[in-house]
Amino acid sequence: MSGPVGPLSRIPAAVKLAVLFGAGIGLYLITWWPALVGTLVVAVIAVLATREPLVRLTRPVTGLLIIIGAVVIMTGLTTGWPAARLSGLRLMTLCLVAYAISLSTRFAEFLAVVERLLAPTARIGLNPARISLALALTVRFIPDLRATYHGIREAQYARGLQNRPIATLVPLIIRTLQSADQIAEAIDARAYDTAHSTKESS
Amino acid sequence: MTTVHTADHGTDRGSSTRNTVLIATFAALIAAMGLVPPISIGIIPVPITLQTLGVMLAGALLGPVRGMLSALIVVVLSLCGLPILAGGRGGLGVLVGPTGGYLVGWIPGALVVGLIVTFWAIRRRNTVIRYVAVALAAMVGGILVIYAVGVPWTSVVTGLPLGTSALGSLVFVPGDVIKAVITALVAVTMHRSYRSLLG
Amino acid sequence: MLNVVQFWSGDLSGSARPVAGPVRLSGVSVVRDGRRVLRDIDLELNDDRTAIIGLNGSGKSTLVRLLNGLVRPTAGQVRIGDLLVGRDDRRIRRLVGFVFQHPENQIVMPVVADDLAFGCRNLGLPRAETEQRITTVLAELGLTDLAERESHTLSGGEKQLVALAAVLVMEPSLIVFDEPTTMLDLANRRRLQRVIDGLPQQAVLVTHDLELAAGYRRVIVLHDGRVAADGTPEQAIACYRDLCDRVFAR
Repeated sequence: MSGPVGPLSRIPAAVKLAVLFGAGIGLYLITWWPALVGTLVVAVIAVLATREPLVRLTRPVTGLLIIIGAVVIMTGLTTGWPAARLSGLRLMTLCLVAYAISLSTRFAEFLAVVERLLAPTARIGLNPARISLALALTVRFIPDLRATYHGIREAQYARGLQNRPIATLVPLIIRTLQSADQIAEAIDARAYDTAHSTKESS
Repeated sequence: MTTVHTADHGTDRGSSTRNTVLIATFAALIAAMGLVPPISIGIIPVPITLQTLGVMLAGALLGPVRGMLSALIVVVLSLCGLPILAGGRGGLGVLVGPTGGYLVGWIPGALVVGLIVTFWAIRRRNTVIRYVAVALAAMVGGILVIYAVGVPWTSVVTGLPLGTSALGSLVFVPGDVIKAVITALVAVTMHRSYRSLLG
Repeated sequence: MLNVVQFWSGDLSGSARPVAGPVRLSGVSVVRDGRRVLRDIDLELNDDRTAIIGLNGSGKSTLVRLLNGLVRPTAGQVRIGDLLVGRDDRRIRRLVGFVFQHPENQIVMPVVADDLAFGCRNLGLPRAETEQRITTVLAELGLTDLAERESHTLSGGEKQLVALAAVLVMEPSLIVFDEPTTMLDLANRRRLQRVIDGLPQQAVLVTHDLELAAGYRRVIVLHDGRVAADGTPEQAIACYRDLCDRVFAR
């Protein structure tokens, strides 16, 4: 898997997030529809600039068109078609800008921004290091839990217990709790807890 | 002897590490529940997903603070572009889209489920009442609170009137009620065998 | 093959590796959930290789968890050199590394190299030294190709070697292994065994693998929370088989 390419990938993640935030507000200030067509064109160019293969773009963009199409029809029927046109253009622009940013930014970059945003929480007694550990742990264990889920489902099918959510969930949660205990133990054994307290616990 | 060594084994080590790990593994559990393909019903395209079940369970099993943090982690990671939402969605587009509020609503949703379960529902003596109480908690936090964020969000983003947006969301209520009932069945069973869970 | 010994006798950090000193358990009992898991244990572990065997529930895992404070004694004292478990856990965990049974639940970072860096960060090592240690340890264990791999894509055997690597980068002077080969196939078992044999550190190994235990100088048998035998592999394994027979006869 190679990282994002194209001109957008060289812009710092924080700047791109600020742009998205600004666009989220700015687009609602524009009420003249030809201007929104302009912003939409810019958004489309931004997505194309990520050099994501067109084949891979079709599925998410189709999904987006269906959702926004539904919104446009609803708005058109309830409030009128000029409003529907504005809202459709705005949504499409915003979603495409967001999509372009997601495509052009590494996951690790986003995490770094999140950690920087969290840094001031140390002052109100939270522990940013602990938060970033939790984020990393989640990413680490999603695939494992998926595998566990599949394993339990297979066992249920083998015993002819299709579609019994309780019979799947209870063992899944018990395994999650057992894993959590083992993971916590492994983390402590690698001197984690002690690294963040200055005093010996007794 | 093998496997399970829980933190309540006469040691007081690293309970904060254990909490961090519990929050993270439940966040991973919520994310893993996005596996089940979403079903879109009705005109308002909010897919039915098992993930809200995960959110209800996180609140009901871990309590308000840890449950909320689990939900928060899933929201943050999905906005960072990890394709962990139902149907492999993720990225900032979700947030600025019409259904963004239903995602953000998970955070206060898990908090409220956790609050009601911890301080009221799970303390009911009568078993039947306890099941009903936990199901109610899951409905208040997992339906009322999440919709209270999601419905106005859809209105603001799309310009649809609040009433239309609320009406559209009603199609998902039956599915979410079923999830609340499942939450109660699972949570009461789990709390019986893991007494120390909420503590 | 691996030349772990040569690597470890080299001086990486510029300072001598701390010595753990003798491990002493005196009058140790552990009670959990109202059950006495260990009863009045007196032990000294000084040999470079000690294996601990015993039936399920005999208290093996609890015993070794005492060695780095993951479990604290209900009564009695556990000392690592002059450090006391329960009081000096912070320093003890820097001296005592721990490799667990389940390979997947020890690797906590999404990418292998980051996982190795995790322990180094906990030690407060500077970045440059962390990277150097990671490169060296991965090379010594023949895992260099795995550095950028996502943790969940590793096989069970690879995971257990990565877990060991993550302990080795912290340069502990005593390593505890709690049934490290149980989840592995025969080939990976042999591979891990060979790596463990090549380590210069003092090692305490809990195992059900009698073949593995037979290669150790000292073997301890635990039964019902007590030391049932302590001596050469031949004596200990004979005692263990005898215990098994008696349990069966009941």
